Amino acid sequence: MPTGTPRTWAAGDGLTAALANAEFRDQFIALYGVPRGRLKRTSNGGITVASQTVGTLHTTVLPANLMKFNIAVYNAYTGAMVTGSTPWSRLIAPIDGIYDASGMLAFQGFQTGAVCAVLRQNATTIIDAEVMAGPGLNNTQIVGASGISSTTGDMTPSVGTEIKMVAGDFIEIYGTCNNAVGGDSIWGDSILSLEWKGTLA
Amino acid sequence: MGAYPVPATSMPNDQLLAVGLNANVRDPLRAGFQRPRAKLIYTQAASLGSGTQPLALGWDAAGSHGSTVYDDAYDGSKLVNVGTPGANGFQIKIPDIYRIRARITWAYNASASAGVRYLGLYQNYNNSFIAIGSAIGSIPSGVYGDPQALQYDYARWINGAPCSAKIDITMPCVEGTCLQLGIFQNSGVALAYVPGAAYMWFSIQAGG
Repeated sequence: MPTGTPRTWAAGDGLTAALANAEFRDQFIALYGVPRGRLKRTSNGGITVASQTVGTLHTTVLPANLMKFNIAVYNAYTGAMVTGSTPWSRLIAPIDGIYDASGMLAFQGFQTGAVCAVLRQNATTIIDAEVMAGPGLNNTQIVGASGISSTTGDMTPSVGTEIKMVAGDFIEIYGTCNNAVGGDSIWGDSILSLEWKGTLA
Repeated sequence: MGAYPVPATSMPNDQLLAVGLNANVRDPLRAGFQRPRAKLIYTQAASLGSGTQPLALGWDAAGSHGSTVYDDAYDGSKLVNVGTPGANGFQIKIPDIYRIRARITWAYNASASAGVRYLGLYQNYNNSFIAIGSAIGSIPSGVYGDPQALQYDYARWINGAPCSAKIDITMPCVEGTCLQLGIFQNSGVALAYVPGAAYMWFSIQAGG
């Protein structure tokens, strides 16, 4: 598997077919055919979002529920980016490097309070989070909130950042809110994606 | 001036030597895999202050809780430029199209009233951010644009709810360009802060 670390050639190295394949073909494949995967839901009801009070949301560590997905839109390294049977919750890095990790949760019919999407590495480390206030709150100061004017609306917090990963590390997305929405509050179309961007020294 | 290594054009009778392979295969590949990229992050909760003027975000140890996650390029050059007043952020060494991203999340605050907060990306700020701020005027009463910012994002901030703002822009940068972040959080909050590790970060990546 290409690793993105080109060979340093020494005097006397013979250019065999094996070397040419490893050092030319595979390196260029690594440039253009990078590991990448994207997971998606095809139905509503991804997670049950627990009701929480405002004061406990997003003060220190976010309490949150894990989102799971049932299809892989693409999976460039089959058997490596995702493993096992559906539903999947994680995308796994097949090689070391810098990755672009991102995701989105689609909350439906949200009311008062706030929703949050949290991107985590290896289940515990928070790497990005987005909190959005719900439309049921006083909205006299809304800017860029998609014209919400009623007391319910759909909220789509999205997260994305670059992270260092080693082979075997994984990302997941968690959702939380402080609205008493109960059961199936997440729409299909929620996504999680991971793409290798390069190496570090 | 910084530049990526350019592979040579082969000529008849060229011999395939190690020095040529290193210069024309290894180095360009390495530049492709290891383009300039850097990331700054807050490592713990931090009070950012509040007021009627925008605040330049600091990442150096003396004034903040910032840390460099990585700062890397194939040629060993560094992008992170911190510690000098007005220079907290990144400075471009190799011209390219860069993807620049940033995030801030403000914590819940029971005493906060309705209002607006924003996160802005600035170029070549050079310690003049307060002057820029005075041009913004009367947020939240109706001025919703900052002409000095390359890109900005507002966070809706109602009844003390936690909120987030983000930057995601791709733009050409010449050598020497400095990039910094600034935030604005209006009155009505005694302690506006980033609630914990990773809730504020700033990254740059050559090549988009």
